[in-house]
Amino acid sequence: MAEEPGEITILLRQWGEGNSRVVDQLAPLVYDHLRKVASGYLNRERSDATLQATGLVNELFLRLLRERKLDLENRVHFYIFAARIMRRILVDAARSRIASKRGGDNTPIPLSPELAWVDPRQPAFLDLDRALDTLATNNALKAKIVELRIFLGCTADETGDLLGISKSTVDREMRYSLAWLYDHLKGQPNLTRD
Amino acid sequence: MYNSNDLKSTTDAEELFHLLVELPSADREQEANRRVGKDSPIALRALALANAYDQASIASPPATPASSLIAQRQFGPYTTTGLLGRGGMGAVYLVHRVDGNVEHKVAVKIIGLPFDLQPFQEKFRLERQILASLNHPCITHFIDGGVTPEGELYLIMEYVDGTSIDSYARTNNLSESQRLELFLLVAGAVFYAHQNLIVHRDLKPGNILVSNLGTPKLLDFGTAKLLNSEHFDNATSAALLTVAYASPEQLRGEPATTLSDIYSLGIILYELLSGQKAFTAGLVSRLDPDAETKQLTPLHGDLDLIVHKAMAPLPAGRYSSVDQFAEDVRRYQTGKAVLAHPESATYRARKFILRNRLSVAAASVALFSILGGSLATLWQSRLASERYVELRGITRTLLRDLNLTIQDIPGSTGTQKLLVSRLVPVLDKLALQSSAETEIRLDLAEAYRELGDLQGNPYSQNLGDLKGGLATLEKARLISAAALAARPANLPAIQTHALVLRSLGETFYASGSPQQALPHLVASATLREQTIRLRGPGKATAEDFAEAVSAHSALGDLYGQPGASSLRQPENAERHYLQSLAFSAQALQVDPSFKRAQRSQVIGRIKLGDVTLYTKSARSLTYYEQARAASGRYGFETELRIRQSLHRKLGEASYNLGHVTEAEQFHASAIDIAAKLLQLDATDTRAIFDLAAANHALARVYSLTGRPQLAVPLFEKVVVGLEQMRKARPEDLSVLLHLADNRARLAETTWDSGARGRSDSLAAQSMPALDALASTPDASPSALELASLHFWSIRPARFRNPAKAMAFARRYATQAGEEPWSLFVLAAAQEATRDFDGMRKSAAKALPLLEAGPSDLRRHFTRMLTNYRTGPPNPN
Repeated sequence: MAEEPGEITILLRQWGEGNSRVVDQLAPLVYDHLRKVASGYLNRERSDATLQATGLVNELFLRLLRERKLDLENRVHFYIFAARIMRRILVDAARSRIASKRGGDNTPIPLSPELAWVDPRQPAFLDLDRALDTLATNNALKAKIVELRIFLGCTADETGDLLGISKSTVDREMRYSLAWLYDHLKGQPNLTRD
Repeated sequence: MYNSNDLKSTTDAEELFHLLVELPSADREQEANRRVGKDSPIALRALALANAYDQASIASPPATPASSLIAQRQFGPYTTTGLLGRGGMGAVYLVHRVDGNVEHKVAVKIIGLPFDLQPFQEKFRLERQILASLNHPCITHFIDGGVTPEGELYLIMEYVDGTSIDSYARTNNLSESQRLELFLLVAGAVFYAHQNLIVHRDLKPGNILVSNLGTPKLLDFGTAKLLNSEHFDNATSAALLTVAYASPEQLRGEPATTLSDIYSLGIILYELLSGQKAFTAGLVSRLDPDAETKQLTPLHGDLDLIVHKAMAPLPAGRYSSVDQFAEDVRRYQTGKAVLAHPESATYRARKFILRNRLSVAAASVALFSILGGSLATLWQSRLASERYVELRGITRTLLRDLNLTIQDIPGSTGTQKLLVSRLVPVLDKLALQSSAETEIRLDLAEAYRELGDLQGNPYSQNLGDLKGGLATLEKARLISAAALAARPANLPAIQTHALVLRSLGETFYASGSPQQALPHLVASATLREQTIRLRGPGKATAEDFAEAVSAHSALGDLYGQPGASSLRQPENAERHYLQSLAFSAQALQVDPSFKRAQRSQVIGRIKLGDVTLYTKSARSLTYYEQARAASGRYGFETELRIRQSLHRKLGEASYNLGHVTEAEQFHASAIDIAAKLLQLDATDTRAIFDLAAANHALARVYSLTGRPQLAVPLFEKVVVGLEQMRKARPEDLSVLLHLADNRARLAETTWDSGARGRSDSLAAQSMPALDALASTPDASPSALELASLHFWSIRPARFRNPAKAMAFARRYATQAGEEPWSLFVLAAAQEATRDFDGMRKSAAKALPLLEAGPSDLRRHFTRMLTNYRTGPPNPN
């Protein structure tokens, strides 16, 4: 028998062919698992001080291996998908923290060096999430770049490679997006740093 | 005011932002004003963004509001009084017991998971009991744990003041033998835990603290399990593990075993001795087992062998217990040959495994007797998945044995039915206990399907328990349908469900309920096509296509297979057979030498010929010709059975088209081949039947073309052959029917050739038999059809009974629906009963259904409509 292509690969392929509804089928297959993994990072049981999205991608990658096949042609979709899942996990985690009014650790965990002023465990993170949505409606590419760079920790080179643009374009877009996000969030009640 | 919807100004502001952000902040305003005008919205917006960028670059995350945890928190009987610090053990708090006043220094680890843990309280309690029962000087004592009212998991354990084993060895500059001693203490602790059926799962230097006194203490025993226990997920989460110390099987997401701990201990030993990290690469490169241990700097002497044995990529290649591993280290210390040495390994290892098995077994017996009740339950839940595998293994063996005995011992059905009746409740129990995991569901569905086929699917060896089979298959369907609903794009789920549906469809079909079979077979074919689509362009396998072939072929049979309880919709049958042909062609594109698909190319065309034989004779002949060409192309010419049946069918199609000479040649050749087959094996009942069928076909041509004297000896042979068949299969009604039919034909042809005395006794034998076969309430369509035809045509004429011919014809027409042949049977009976109006109506209905061009049927119907005659037709 030939190798079975995994369910995820199949869904990614369909996504690649323009069927965007499959994301709804795709997410449950990896979401629960990744959420548990992400909690490990978020709860500082690891020694690392920043959120390690790479670990998460490794995890997702592993899962695809377990599904026995990951088509390389789906790489772009895979990364974009992973970034989106990661974002969703963080949003859900932040929500559940707010819901349970849980305290916990008081040491800040920056989301990434670029977005050092956002702690993914804080309510402000939900504002960031909404701001990203707004950014995406204005300019989808910018939001995609932010997702890949921030939530997956892709380098500018990798991001450019995935999206088919140059590294300098990535840097330039990123710079604008960071400024825009900070400016956009400055007035929000939850970010009272200033 | 800046308007974010104004695309133009957004673009301009963005451009300006990029210019400004490069400048020192003091120069920005002037530059902005210079470019777009003072206080223009664009300038203001770009300036705001550039300043935001500066601030964002230096900003740090906001502090969390002070946690209630620091002030005072309650964990079970413990209350925190302050934060001691943070380290390898997580957040460590000073606590004191609420119920007493004694202060303990304990470590509290708080693990907030973003989902509700309350439902798992009870399971956690049992797990914690096991952990708390671990009592070893080198294992940190697990004191308590639980779930806080806020839903976090907390673990309270003995507080250890120490440093990790690797830095301890380094800072104290330990010698090799000191390091080995330290390691042996660790190994002893791990072995103790293993004897208590607890696997660590996350052994690494950071989890082994060495106190100032030099005693190693293992942390977090079993907590990896607690965090990743089956309540959440079946596989240990690879990312929660430390990739650098995890075994290959854990990295693949398989469950950790004692052998996984041995692997991690191997890495720890290597690093202790070499002072180097074993693996620095990431996860992806660690998944390549060949690259694994090659990169390690060799240790000296037998230590290298020991480490490599512990770190064997396949668990089976490692030491079978930590004790064995430790023993080898001790052997090295005392200069003895180590077990890891290839020369003596096998023999000695075997002895050790034996010894070890005993000690582990003894330990578990002790555990049961000491802890009893609640723990036994827990032990069972740990074993649940293994138990499933075990029970499933038993059912699988039983099924296989049953299949074998059914083939071998025809008379043992009573025992087999009993066994099956025992097997059903076992499977039902399994179904109740098993989880909703897709793999297990599919496996169960498959088990039910095998059992159901065994009970009653006439397409496979079966026990003839149709009702039981359908009930079991229905259970299979419910399970596989649920699995598929949960995972609509899961290929194994699709395939299993397709198989189950086909079994159900086949069983319904063969039990004479084609209407009930239809939805299942249609759904099964749809799923097979879905599989091909899901694989993606160019990715479907030859087997995928072959399964689609089978599915459509089964549908074709259901719609129009002649001589069975089909739906009698030849148009639909033809459509599905054509689809099956298209799929087998695709299978051959993938794998041109795929025998199954080659055969389908031949068989599919034969079936197409069969289904069009009486309605579209010209097309039917073409299909048979194509089948013959395909059989030549793929080398099936040597397969006598295929060739034999092809020639007979070519003969029938040729005759229908009026090509009498060709028909005779094909039939004569079919007789030759069948005779040859019979020479190969005189007891081959299939060959006996084939020979009879071939003789019958040629005899019919002779009798229909007015040469009864040539037909007589052939019908004689047919009767002899069928008598032989009847002795071998006395209960087979179709043999009895063929026998009666051929005797009647023999009576007719002997009469026509002048031997009238003999025909009388033959007719006296055959007509009551036909009457009996057609008069039962569940008479087959063929019985009704043949009885009807003979009751108006039999010679001597005194055996005729037009009323019976009419009654049987009506029943046949009702079953078969309005198609040319059933209308002919009806019209002929109507003619025999002198119902000429009815006859003309039937003929008028039938004519438009015929294919264009001359044919036997067209001649008959035209005669009935145009040459009005009184009296029954002359059969010849």
